[in-house]
Amino acid sequence: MVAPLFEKELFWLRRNWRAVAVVFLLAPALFGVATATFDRTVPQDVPVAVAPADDAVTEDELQAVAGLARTVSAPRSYDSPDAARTALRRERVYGVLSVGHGLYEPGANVTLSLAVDGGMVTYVEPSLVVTGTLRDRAGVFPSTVTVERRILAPERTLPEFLFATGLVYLLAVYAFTYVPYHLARERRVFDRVRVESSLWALLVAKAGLFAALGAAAVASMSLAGVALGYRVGVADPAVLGVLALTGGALVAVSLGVSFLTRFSVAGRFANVALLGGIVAFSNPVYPTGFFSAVRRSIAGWSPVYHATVVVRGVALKGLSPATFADRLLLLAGVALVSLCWLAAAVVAFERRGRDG
Amino acid sequence: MDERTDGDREPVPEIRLDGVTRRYDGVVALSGVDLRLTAGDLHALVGPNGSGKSTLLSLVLGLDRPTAGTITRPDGRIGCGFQTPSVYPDLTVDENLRVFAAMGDAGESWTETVRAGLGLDAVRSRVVAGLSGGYQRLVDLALAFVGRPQFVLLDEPLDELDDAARDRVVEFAADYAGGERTVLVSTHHVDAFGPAVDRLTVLADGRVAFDERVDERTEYLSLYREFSE
Repeated sequence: MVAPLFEKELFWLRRNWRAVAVVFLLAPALFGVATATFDRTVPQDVPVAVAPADDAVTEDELQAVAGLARTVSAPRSYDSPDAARTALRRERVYGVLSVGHGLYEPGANVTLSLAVDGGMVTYVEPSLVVTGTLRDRAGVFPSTVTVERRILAPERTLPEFLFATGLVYLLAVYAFTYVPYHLARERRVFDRVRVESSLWALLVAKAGLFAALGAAAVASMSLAGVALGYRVGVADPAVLGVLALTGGALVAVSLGVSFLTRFSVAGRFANVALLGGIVAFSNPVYPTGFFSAVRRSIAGWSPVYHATVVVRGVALKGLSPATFADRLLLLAGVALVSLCWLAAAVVAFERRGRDG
Repeated sequence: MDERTDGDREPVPEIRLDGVTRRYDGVVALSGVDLRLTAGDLHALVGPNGSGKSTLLSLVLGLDRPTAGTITRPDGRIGCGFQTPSVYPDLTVDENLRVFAAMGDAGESWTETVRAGLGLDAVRSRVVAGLSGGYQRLVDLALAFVGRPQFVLLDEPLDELDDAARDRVVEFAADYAGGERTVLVSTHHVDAFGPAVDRLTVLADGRVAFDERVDERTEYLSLYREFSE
């Protein structure tokens, strides 16, 4: 009795080998490979600016301090403290190591000061590793070296930090799970809509619906934050704009996958896999490079990472959106490309006909 | 808009297929089909499974593109009933009707006529996903007519329907056809539509095997059998 049913499963496997290969071979392999991007638990590859405290600091002194810091950070040289601070605000670096003059002068008192952003909560404690290491190794210099750490305002709590970060990821979850499900449920009416109206008109109507639902979700989460007393400015127009831009781009990507796969189960798996990839590789919680240099590079390619940085900067730290002009431009470009991707997928869907 | 002129008479709109061929990965679904759907007819499209009926309807509806040949359609709306009901599953019957009625210019009274004529009054407030297959078929058919289009194309409209519902659909389609309104029915149920049909087209192996006006109702079934077997 079991044999015929087992044979049926073999038929099914033969008929669906592509989807099975993706879900049960490729996905687990990628999952295994992904573990290689977690290299260490010391934030060794987190970018930290090394900048002179004043004009008297020499290049040799900067290089020496950068060399000491390299074991617990990825030092990047900046010409001035201001430039380094700007990079810190933009989350290009996560700390600014200010180097005083006189490291090689016996008897001189030199201060190495690491400033970290109080809003980047998940780096405040780990940055102690940097100062601790510098303190341990400062004996190589003939001068008397004092290592200090300063936490720049505004200081925020971990819940506030996670709240601001979670806004983007909340939209990502909707974009790759609920939205494709919603359209797949109405898949069978698409032929009628194509005859009576058009899929483009349908997508415009859906954009209106999902914009309203997304706004409701953000408003609901925002109210929860207000009730908890969080100091996060979700209502800032720039924050809402970035959320709309990012949410729209992610929805366009997921729907493009859905249309190209004709709303199949394989398409749903692909969208869930994309969501997993985004969550895993966009550095939602820790600074870039916290676990490995590879992850720092990958995050740079993720628009969700850039959106998170902007939302954190504006909503959590109260920075001007202009601070993140380059990232905003990138997000606009990604949104445009995503819409083109969706448009191409819809055209392909229509060209394949009903039975294609 | 493609219109035919005949002397001083008013132009009569039609749907025209000229040398239409459709191939799928080397399989010929339709081959050199010439066909006219003229105003006022209840036009039956019959043929065995795989003869190309659904493909032809998809092409006329613009859901697919011919590999060769041309299809000329008048401007304006074409109503359609699908082999698999094409409805919003999470809306009620009335909500479905309202959505698609709003895409045309038919009034509320016509919507009520369609709903009553197809026997949907009793389930008008029910969510479609919770209805039986037969009712979902009827909702799909109602959506084909609710915009009061000039051309209505129905693909196997009697599937899943009980006898009473079949009679209602045939009667409604026959009443609807006439004047400038045309109904094309792709069906296996020739016996049900037989008496009401004005024109019969038989497809076999993707080609038009027979395409004539049907004058003698008694010959209808035999014509179908002759060309479809």
